[in-house]
Amino acid sequence: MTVSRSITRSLSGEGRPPAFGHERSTHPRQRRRRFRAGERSAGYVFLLPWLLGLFVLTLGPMAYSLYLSFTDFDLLTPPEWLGVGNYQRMLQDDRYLQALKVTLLFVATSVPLKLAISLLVAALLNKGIAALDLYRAVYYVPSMIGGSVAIAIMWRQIFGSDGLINQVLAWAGIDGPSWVSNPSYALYTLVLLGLWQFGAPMIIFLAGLRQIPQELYDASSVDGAGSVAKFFRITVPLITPLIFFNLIMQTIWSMQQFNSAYIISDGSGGPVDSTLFYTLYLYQEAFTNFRMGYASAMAWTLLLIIAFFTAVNFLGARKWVHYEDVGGR
Amino acid sequence: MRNMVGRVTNVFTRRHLLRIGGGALAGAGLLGLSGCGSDSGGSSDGADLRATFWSGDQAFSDSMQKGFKTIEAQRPDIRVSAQFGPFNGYFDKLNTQIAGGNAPDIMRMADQLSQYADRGVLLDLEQFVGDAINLDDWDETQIAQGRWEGKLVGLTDTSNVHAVIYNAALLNEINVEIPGDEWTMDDLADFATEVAQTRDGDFWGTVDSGGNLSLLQVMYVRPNGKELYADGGRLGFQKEDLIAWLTYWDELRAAGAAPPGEVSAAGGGPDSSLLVKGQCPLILGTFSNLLPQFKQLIDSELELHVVPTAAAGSRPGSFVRPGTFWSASARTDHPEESAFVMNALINNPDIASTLGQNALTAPSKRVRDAAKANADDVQLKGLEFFDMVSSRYTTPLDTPPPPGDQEIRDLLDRANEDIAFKRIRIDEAVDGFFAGAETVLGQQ
Repeated sequence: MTVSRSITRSLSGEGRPPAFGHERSTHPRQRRRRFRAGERSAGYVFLLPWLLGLFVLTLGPMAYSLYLSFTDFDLLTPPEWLGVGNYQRMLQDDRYLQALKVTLLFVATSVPLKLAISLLVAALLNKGIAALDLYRAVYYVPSMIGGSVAIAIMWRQIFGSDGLINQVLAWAGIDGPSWVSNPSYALYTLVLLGLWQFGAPMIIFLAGLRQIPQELYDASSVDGAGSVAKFFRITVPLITPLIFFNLIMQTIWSMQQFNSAYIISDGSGGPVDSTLFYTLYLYQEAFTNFRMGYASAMAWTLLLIIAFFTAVNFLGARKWVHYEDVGGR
Repeated sequence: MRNMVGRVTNVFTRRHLLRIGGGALAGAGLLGLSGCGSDSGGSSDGADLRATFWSGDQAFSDSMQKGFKTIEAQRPDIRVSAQFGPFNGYFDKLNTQIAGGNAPDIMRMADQLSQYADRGVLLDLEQFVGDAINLDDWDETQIAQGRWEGKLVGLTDTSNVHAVIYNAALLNEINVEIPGDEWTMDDLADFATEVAQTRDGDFWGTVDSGGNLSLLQVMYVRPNGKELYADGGRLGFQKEDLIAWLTYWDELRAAGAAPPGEVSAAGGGPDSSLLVKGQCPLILGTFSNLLPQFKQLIDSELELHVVPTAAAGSRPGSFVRPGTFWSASARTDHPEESAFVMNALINNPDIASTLGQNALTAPSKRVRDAAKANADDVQLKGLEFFDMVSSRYTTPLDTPPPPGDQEIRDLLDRANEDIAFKRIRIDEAVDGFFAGAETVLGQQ
């Protein structure tokens, strides 16, 4: 704030001697221009390592992958140009359509539930619980470790036929099925694993909830609003930007899930392909079946699908996201 | 931030320099790190080799490490770093390494040999025969097993035959006898049904092997006079064969003799097999050299048994198979050193004979004799079984598995799973399998 104000004032030629300097008394504008020239090259130099990384580690491989998507590449011999053959193949590939179905089902189930849970827990924590830091940390830990191989292996154990869940159910006299190797349930163990990692969006919601001025709640109490009304009429509308952010981030994250599906289904995509996530099928085609060209085409299609969902979200956001600086609707 | 204009120029300059320096260091660090990455080149004074293999038991891994140390002592200019892990996932990892241009110098291979050889990944070792590689006391068939299209791409490490391993103690407990060596698929069905009825709950008489391509080959296709793959890389059997096979297993599942889809789909390695978990008295599609491995996993009296055949009087379906190969990467920087190391692993009696069960059926006679002197009872049982089966219950197999074999295995596995979960009818599954297999074989 201070910077732009002082620059504005100086630019408008108010001509006051700089309050903070014993520097050369050249015209403020010239001094700033020279300074800016130095700043520009300094900026690029600072950026250099990151730019190198961007081009060499990200954009370069992406461009190569785009090229590969139009080739037949078996990893071991040089790629052969194919044209759009890989893309045509996707449309006729049953397993590809299955992978798409499974992934979309996963996203449609886990993302809304995860947002709801994280918002709810954040709202509860916001009521001023003692040891808030502890709860916040505890709920955040799964987000940090949840994507790991170790957790996935543990999850597979827990939901296996002799696992923890079934042992607990056995005390209640219920003979549980093998959750991870039954096509009706396997995907939902993965959804649960995703939901368990609600800590990350929760932290964001918590931060947002704290920004809501208490006066609004007090005023609504005066008007006779109960907690539910307060939640839906005040809390939710004011944090719609955060809901929007989390919605996009969680959608992208869910569509890219790999570890959990790979470990829990032992690399196969689950009983009768019920946990064949898009990325898992991509991996199988690339590294097990030596069809890297096809897998690259799948990767770029995934990019387009995610871009599509994100675009839809952005367009829809105009309807339901209320930013503070936009006038009320 | 307040002093953005003016005095800040001084402070900025200092920090400016520090940050540029820091950035340069970081950049140099990155480049340096990527430079000393994981290439198998050597420094000018010797060769650093990477060897990968899968290992079923700790003893084997330890012996391999010791073997490498002995080799390093004999040839101080060679250093071998070994990477090993379980069989599950070994080839996925290897594929990733090869794709990244990072293939290990020395690799353990199995049935997949043709897949890699066909794509030029493996070094032609013919140039080293008679020199770094000594094959003088080998059987010609065992040398030939490692050839693909005229090139010697793999050195046979050991031979084995298909086998059943069963828990004799468990069978004693439930008072069921396993039929004799010449038992048929019908005998297996009766046996399995009887076993499953002795106990309630999760207990079955056989593993569901409908999706096991090797057993399809050895139990059904070959005894019926056909081969899995015909010349020219096509399937050598017909849809009726597969329908009969899959129906057999479907009926066993329906009778409760074989576990339902849910149980078989759980997957995992030998340590999660039904034999080890005590839920089934046998494992059907294993090999004669794996008895020590299972002995480590379950503390019970385990025995080897011949695999059932299709019908009485059919020709034997088993064949002496090359168990594993050692191959070198076509892109290795140290071909001669790699050949030397592999030769030592296979042909040097002092090293090879310590490598457990496999050495007992090694191609080199010197190694076999040395291994026999060192073998324990369990290993000798495996050898006895191998000798017995190879002399009585095998017919030779000429065609090695063509490229695409691995994917066809997956196709059959998924087809059987679809049937087990009642997602598809058997004839539909068979149609799908044949269509898929033709596509895969056609693409190779």
